Amino acid sequence: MDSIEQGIFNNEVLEINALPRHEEAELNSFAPKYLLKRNISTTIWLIIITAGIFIAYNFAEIFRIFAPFIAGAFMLLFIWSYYSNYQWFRKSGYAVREHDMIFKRGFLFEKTTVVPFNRVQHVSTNRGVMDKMLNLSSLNVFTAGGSGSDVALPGLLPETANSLKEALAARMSGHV
Amino acid sequence: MSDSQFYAPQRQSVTGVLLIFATALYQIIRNFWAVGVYLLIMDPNPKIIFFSGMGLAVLLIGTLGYSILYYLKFQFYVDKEKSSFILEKGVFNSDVVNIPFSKIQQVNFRRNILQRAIGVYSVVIDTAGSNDKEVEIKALSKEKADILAGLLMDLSTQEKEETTESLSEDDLERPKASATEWEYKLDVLTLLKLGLTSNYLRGLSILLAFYFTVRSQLSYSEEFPVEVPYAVITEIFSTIVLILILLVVGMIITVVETFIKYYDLHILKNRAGLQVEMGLRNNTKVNLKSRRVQLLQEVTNPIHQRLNLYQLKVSLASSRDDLIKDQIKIPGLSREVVTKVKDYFYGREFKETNRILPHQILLWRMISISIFPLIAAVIVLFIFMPDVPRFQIGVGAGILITGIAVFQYFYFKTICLSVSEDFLMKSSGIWNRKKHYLEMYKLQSVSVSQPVWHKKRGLVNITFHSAGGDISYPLVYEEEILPVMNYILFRIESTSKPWM
Repeated sequence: MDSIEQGIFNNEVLEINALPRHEEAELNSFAPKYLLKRNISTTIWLIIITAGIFIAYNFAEIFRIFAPFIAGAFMLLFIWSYYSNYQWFRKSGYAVREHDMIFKRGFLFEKTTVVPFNRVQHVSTNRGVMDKMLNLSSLNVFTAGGSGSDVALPGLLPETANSLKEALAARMSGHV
Repeated sequence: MSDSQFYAPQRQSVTGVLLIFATALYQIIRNFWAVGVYLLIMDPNPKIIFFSGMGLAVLLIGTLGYSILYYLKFQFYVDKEKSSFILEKGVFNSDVVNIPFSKIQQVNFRRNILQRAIGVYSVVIDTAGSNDKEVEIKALSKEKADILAGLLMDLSTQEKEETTESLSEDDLERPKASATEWEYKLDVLTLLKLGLTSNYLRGLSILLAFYFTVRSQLSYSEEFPVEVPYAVITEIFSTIVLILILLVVGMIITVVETFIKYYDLHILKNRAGLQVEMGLRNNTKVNLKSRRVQLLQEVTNPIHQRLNLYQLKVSLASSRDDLIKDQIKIPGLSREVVTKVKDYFYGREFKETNRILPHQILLWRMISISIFPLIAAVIVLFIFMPDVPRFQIGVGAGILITGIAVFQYFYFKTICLSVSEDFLMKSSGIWNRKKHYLEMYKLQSVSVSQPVWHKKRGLVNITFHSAGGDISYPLVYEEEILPVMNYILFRIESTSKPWM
């Protein structure tokens, strides 16, 4: 083992420049229906808040003065939410490389996590009620590095999630 | 019954339905008991009683239905082809969990009162992953539980033998464990020094308390000059005595604490690893194996450095004891011992090849965060209390802000990430100087994050996830850190050495 490492040792400068760059990997985007799912949950909130404001407007006298401002503020918030849903969807994605998996997510805060297959402990797929209606599935990848190092890919097609899971499971146990 | 039954999807014992039902019912009662109590206290209007009775019946039937569905949906089996254990569950949410045999650390049985009453066992499958609760089969008969546990452990050891060879190497080393290579003992004098110099914060706070009491005593005498000064002096004197006693008591307590925790600290290095023993009561005894070390932290301060006292904190991943992530603190080590310990853990010296410093923005952020409360307080004071001596307060605040800024500047200057062939070292601290060592190939994953407003400058924050905790490093240039990240990934992915 030492001799192999010695090789890495000597070659270091060359190695670093020749190494594959995770930041250049082409990302797969999530299923378009996932954007729909995010927008649906935003809409549900929109309905709840609107109903709340409507009720308050009709039943609380004092509230009437503030109502337009509050309604306006929420209006902006929701417009922003839809916009950020869209941007999130556009910017997030995943890639599976030969030895690891890249997951990039976020709009205002972009975060990229790279999980090597030989550090994955177990994988699972998960489908909530909405996922079942929209034919979506999510894939969870667990490592031993605490919750920060775990990765959850939302909004995959169930077939994709399953084949990814199988590919991962095979690589984790070292058979590929 | 044999192993083969588990190759096809299996359900829990039928009595499991009862268990699920009881657990669900318990949850409901815990969440809604207040409603029930409220209805009872309200006047027992027959209409209300009827409707709540109906509601209760619907709830019970619903829960029962849910329990049956949950029971039917809860299936598990061994998939030989994929070399994994597979668990499917969930009524509304569906979960499918795959656990490769090679990652199974332990299979445990657990039983609570209810499970005892029904006569079933809970089978918990542990991996080194964070979410071990996820894989629990709550109701299996004793017979089935035994067979399943045996089967899984067999498959897991088979798999491990196939894929890793270093394990057996490790086992070969064990018989020769007795030969001691070196030893270190913390003598009583050093322990005393350690006790006296630890916890100076407590001493400092007592001193501050002393200062303020005396001051208030003095201002008290200023306001009432008619008072007999003698009484004030005796009062001050008695406070001084009291404070001194407190200081001494505080020191004694710290010394005693140190003795209880670290008395007879003893490190012994042999082929099996590093045997550490310490403590008067609750004697701690651990065997630190270099393979299990996930994160090493070295701490010292100028006083301790002068006394040649260093502290090591070792974060381990252990497969025993339900995979608790242990952290072991070993204080009172001399420079040479620290070097020896590191030599054993890492096998080679730390040779820095690359140094990465955070961007200046971090300094401004640190300064603004630390002076913000002060500035806010001063502004509030000026607005709402017109009588305050503004000039003095302004000057005082100015001095304080300068002091904080200077402190943060020097603190900022100590923050550094060193990269070597195999390691990462993050150091920081003016007084308490900390060094975190991470071995690259033992990392679990790496994350980079970037707020939109740092995109133009190309600054990112990086987090190294180890099984002993995360190490984050803020605001570094992408072109500096990303090659390091790619190198680390290469190191992780190209090694077949086990990380624990």
